[in-house]
This record gives sequence, structure tokens and C-alpha cells, in this order.
Amino acid sequence: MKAFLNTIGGRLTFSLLLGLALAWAMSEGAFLILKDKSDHAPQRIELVIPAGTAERVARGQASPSIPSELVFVVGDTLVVKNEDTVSHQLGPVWAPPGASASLTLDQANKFAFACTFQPSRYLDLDVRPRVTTATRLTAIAFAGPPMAVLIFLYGLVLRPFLCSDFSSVVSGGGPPS
Amino acid sequence: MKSKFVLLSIGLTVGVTLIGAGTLWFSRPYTFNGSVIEPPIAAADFRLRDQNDRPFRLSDQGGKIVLMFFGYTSCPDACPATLAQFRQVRADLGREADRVRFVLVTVDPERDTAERLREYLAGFDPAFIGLTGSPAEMESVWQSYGVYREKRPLEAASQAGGHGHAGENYTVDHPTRIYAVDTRGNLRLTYSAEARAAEIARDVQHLLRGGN
Repeated sequence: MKAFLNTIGGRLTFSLLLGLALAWAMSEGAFLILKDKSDHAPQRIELVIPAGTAERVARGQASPSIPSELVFVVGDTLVVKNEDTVSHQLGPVWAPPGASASLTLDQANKFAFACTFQPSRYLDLDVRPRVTTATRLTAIAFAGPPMAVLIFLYGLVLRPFLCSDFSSVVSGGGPPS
Repeated sequence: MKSKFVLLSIGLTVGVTLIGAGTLWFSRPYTFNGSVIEPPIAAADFRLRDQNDRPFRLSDQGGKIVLMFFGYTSCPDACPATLAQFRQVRADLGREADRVRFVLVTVDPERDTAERLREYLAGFDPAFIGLTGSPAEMESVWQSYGVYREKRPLEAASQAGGHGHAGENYTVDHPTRIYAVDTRGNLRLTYSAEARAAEIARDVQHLLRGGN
């Protein structure tokens, strides 16, 4: 092992592995500290429009079971289940009477969707970003290599290669321990 | 020798991880870009006349995808935009576009005659289909697809910030939704006016290939 670390390839490999490991540990720590309470694995969230909603809305009354704001994470699927006798719309989601319609929310944003089942005619949807495996891998890919370079340079400062090391590297072996 | 073994192990680990990640990525179920009707319901059938005064029945379009929206030829903004979107979808589909019907159903049968529809659609793509009928026939179709329409005198529309052409005395408020009916005649998807043509084309391709 000691001989392996005394070769340039060995040190580079070790630095890369250590850099990636440190980047992973730091990014996981950061994700843990900054974690949003609403963060969860993608799931189907059902919004039921009860029978008689259109009549209530026409009278200016809100349906008690429908919230005025909904919070999602990217990847969630919003399912609008229409139990009313007329079709209803929530932004791009249109549900015929007695049927359901779903939409996968793939972009983080705050939406104010036009809707037919609120007296205000609008419903706020907050779609928040989610920490995914891709996010984690991106963090490691961005932080790992620069950290590996720093570790490699730091290693050179701590234990520089001697001329004898280089001659042995060139001849294919490590320096005598 | 030892260093070669370590490098080989690292290479193998990275390779296996990449192959695993790739397999997982490509085996994911397709996610539609539009709003999905669950479970699919039979699209309400109707019989109207097209821009060449030929009968058009929705249930006769089996084996083809029907992309349909409700609009009118004097529409100043949403309808030209949707037809431009249709044109892009058609281009994106390439040869598969022959298996798709692009349909405009009028919300203004009083003005949208077959002749007017023909002239209007020729400006976008002669392959597009424009449908009209008697007010009673149209009313039934609008109701089946949850289409509200409201005529607004042009003066009132202008005061509210609307647009209009000189010589027209009203505009028509209408939804801008696009409906996708699959090859079996089921209403499968709807899109808002903001949907991108490429996204619609991807969904249509998936449906044409028998995807669920």
C-alpha cells in the first residue's frame, strides 16, 4: 500500500477517492441541515371535488374539504377526483364529471392556477424542489474532483516525491521503503 | 501488480454502477406531459361537417389519434397560437403525423362557415380539420367537453383589454384546452395552452406506439 501511494497514479487514485468521499460527507451534511420539511419521495396527492361544488361556488361558498393552497415537491402527481356533476378545471388539469385527472409536477415553481372549484377562481400550488439521487451525484461530481486536486497538492507538500521516487516511478516500481 | 488490481477494481465498480443506473433510467415508466384522464373514458361521440362540407364523425377516426381544440376563425390570439402549436407538433411527428388528426371545433358557428374554415385553416396547414354545425349540434358537443363560450360585444371586449378585428362585432370567450383522443376513441389527455409542442408530440408518439 505504501509503495502504491508513492507512485503518481497511486496518489492520484487515493486523492480522487478521498476527495469524492469528503465531498459526499459534506454534501450529505449540508442536505441534512438545509432539509425542507416538505421534502418527501414523489407520491400521488389526491384532491377530491365533492358533489355539489359547482353550485356552492356559484353561491360564493367555498368547499370546506378543499384547501386554498397546496404544497408539493417535484415528481409528485396531483390527482383531481371530480365527484361533481359538471367538469372541473385546475390550471392544466381538466377532470370530466365522475372521473379523475392527474398531472405529474415536474418543475419547481409557485403557481396560481385558474380553477373552477374555488369562489376566488384561483388556487395556489407551491411545487418545491426535492433532493434526489441526481442532486446528490451532481453535488459530488462538482465538489469531488476539485477537492481531489487539493488533496493531491496537499499530499505533495506533506510528502514530496524525491528524485529517487521519480526514477523508480519511471522504471515502474515504487521507492524503497 | 497491486496498483493494477486496485485500478481494475475501481474501473469495474464504476462500470457496474453506470450500467445499473442506465438500466434503471431506461426502465422507468413513461410520464405523460399532459393531464391524464384516469381511467380513460370514451370520448363523447359527435357528427359535424368539416371545411369541405363532408361529414366528420369522431368515432370513425379509430386507429388515429385526434388532437382537438375549441376555437373560432376570428379569434385574435389563442386560436392562431394553438394552430401554430399544432403545426409544430405535426412537424415533430414526421411520418407519424399521418396517424394524427388535428381538429378545430368552432365555438362560433354563426360566422364559421365551411368556406371560412377552409380559407382560415389553409393558412396554417391544409391537413388540419375544421368542424362546424348548427348551433344546436354545436351546443351538444360543447356541453360534452365542458366548453363554456360567451360572446362579448367588441366594444365591451376592447374596454376590458381584449382584441378584435375591424368589422367584427363580437369576440368569443372560450377555453384553450387541447384534448387528445387515443386510437381506441378514449379521451386520454388534455393540455393547457402553455404546453410545449415537443411535449405533446412525445405523448402522441407514446400513444401511437400503444403505450399506457
